[in-house]
Amino acid sequence: MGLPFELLCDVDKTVIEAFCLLNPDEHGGIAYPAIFIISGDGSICYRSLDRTAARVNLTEVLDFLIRFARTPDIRVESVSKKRVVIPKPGALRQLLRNLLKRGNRADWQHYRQFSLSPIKALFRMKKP
Amino acid sequence: MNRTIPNIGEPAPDFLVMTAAGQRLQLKTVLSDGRPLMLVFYRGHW
Repeated sequence: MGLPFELLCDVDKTVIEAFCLLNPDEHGGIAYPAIFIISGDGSICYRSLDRTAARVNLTEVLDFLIRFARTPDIRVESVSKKRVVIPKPGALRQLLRNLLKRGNRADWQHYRQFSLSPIKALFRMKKP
Repeated sequence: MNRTIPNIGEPAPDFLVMTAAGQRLQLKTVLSDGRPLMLVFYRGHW
């Protein structure tokens, strides 16, 4: 494909389970979205644990990488997320279809946990 | 074994995985040259 990075295929979920990111509620078990930046000594210097409807802003990741290039001993836990997720009508139709046809509850559970996002975001903003 | 998601400052768990090109890749081999790497997990499924 000519990509400037390796695309990994974790078909047997070895890596997902090694990082404890297995989401058993979707598609028979897939990864929760996340980003880890691992320094040359093998330690984790950045991590962002995301959810379906709340992903880290990639400018934050890029900002960290720029700072990391200057200061390799920097360590950051990402806390900024999208604060409000309002499903589009098409997404709501898909949620209902999944519930009726497959009994798949995972999609609506993801949206449920973000119904309090504005309140949580307010508390997060107060942290130093 | 009671595992938790690796935290900041902790060593990343070693793993062996296939690449899209069909090659095997091990984390400690990639890190052996001392360069950092970024690991991004997506909600992909087969």
